[in-house]
Amino acid sequence: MKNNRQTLVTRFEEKLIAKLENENIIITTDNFNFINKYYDVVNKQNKLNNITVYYDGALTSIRFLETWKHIPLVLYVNSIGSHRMFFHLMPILRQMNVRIFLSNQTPQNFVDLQIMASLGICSGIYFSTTKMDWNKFADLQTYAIYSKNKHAAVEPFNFILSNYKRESRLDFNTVYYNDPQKFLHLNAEGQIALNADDLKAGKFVLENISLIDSLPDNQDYIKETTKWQQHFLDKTHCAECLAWRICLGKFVETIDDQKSCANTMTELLDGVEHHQQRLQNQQNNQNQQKNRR
Amino acid sequence: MAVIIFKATEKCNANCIYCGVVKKHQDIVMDCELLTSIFHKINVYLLKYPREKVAFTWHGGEVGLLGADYFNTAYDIVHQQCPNTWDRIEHLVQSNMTVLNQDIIDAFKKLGITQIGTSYEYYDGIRGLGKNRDSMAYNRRFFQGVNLAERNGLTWGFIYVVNKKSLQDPLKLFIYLTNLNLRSSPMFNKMYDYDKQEDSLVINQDEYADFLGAILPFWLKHRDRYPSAKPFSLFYNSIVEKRVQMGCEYMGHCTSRWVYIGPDGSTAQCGRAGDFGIMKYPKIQDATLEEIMFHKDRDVIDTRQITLPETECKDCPLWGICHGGCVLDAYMDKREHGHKSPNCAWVQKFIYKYWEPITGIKVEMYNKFTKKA
Repeated sequence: MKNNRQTLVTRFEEKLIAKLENENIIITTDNFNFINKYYDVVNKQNKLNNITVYYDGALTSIRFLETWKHIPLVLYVNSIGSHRMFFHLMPILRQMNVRIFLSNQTPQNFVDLQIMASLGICSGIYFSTTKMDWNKFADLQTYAIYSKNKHAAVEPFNFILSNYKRESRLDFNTVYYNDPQKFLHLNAEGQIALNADDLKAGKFVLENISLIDSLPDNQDYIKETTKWQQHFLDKTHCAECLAWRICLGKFVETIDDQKSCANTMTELLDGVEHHQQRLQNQQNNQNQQKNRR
Repeated sequence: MAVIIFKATEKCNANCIYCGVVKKHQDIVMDCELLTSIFHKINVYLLKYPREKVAFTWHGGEVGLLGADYFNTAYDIVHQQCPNTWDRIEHLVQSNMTVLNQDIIDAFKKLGITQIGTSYEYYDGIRGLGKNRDSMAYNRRFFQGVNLAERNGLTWGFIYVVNKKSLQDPLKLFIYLTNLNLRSSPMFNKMYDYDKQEDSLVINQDEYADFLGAILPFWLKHRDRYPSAKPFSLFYNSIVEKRVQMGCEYMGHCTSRWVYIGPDGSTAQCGRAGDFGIMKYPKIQDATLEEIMFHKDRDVIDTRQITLPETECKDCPLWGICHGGCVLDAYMDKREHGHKSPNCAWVQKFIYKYWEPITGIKVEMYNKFTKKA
């Protein structure tokens, strides 16, 4: 695969895929019928990163097929559905290479994410509404970071835990493919947008992938990758927030009098640093033991 | 290492309230003949001292106003005049970042510059462009410069000048500024009072100590997150880790290590001495670099290091941190070199009111020749 190149995110267009070579590709779809086909076609001359299905329904209404077992799947669904049905799905879900995202729309989803993670299913929250239940978010965060019981990864906490470095900003929009330094979005004609919203709005920065080397000098790209600076020019609450480095102002529209987002994200930052310190201490102890031998 | 604070120009596009250079209103740019002569003298100096190095700090004014051609010419001159010593000259740069362009950045890189030192201000109307000190225009251009530097692989660090407005909410300011550049936390310097015209923003010693004291507990709790925030890290390293690495003002060993060279070839003890117009030495046209670096007038600094522990700083447990402070500040305060710096007041207050009670660590860094700890 092409080194240091962005992963391309696109709906399945056979002609477009045929024009691409050695690219890392994510196929987005709302249709489960052609998953095997997508996998086979994309992997002919490119590498399929995953197939992401945006499904306007409950997880339990999806009919999972045995033939998907080897295919990396990411599912965005509204909810789990009935718990009874969900537990029936568990045997096949456990065999799948799947990550399931639930919306932040209902408090129950936060609880269900915890249930899924505890059952070994990789999962994550996605933000479809600015009305955030910060208490539920904090509960999920505490579970994802501090729980000593074995559980699967919960995004975006897992991403933040794995990628946080104190000397650089961390953008967890990467989890949702909205980071043009890591992902580019293509339409059927191969025109390139910087994120999913721009793709939807038909706002393109490059006409096709052959122009990708010019991207670092593209003014829209520069503007997009440096838009965080506007918080500092405007002196927003986010620029003065302890958790800035892991949040970058993503919840600016949710800021309430109690600054719930700041409190929750600051707890997250503390948790991440604590986690890294613990890993570092373990590593140091192991090194010491090796040296003693 | 000899540190040359080199100001080929003192012109600036900005009009910052606390800048001593802007108030000089100098428009001279050093010509190539003098620039050539300076590097010739550096070469002679380095040949005579084969283990010595020179930190050549391009300072201003705003160095970006010199333009890329000036730096490219300087590169050629360095290699012509210093054929066997150029690799012992480390080029550094201070810039306000607001006039940088790709050509200038390329020229910096050619000179081996990898980091840009700069300044930033949170409050409006203090740093800015033009007569009205347009801060928004300044900050926008600043970020353009930052983006350009970062795209070219250059890093940047900055100084924040603590002023009256900074006292409103020190912790909020600290968080904002440390968020601004996660790679390198700022140095919080006290605002200097150059001409007392803008004294509404100048803070006193107590206020500076209180400013630092308001941040200290937070910094101590999160020092792994902000390892380079100064002066906190400097105090911590000096007191707890016994690695005394305070700024030049507090080390007491600048005697023959620093020199300022101005656009007309005038020299002085250091950049601030050049700004204040004190502790001047012969023009570079009239002396060798060695003669300037070891000028007899510099002896007062060494003498002061011997006399202060016997007099004003006698038995002071903070001697090992501040060494009597900066000779320039002492001179500006009392018009004599031999006294301790008035900054002693903030250091004492910071240590006794904040550091010792908060950390529980008593500072006992006496002068080892006059009193044993």
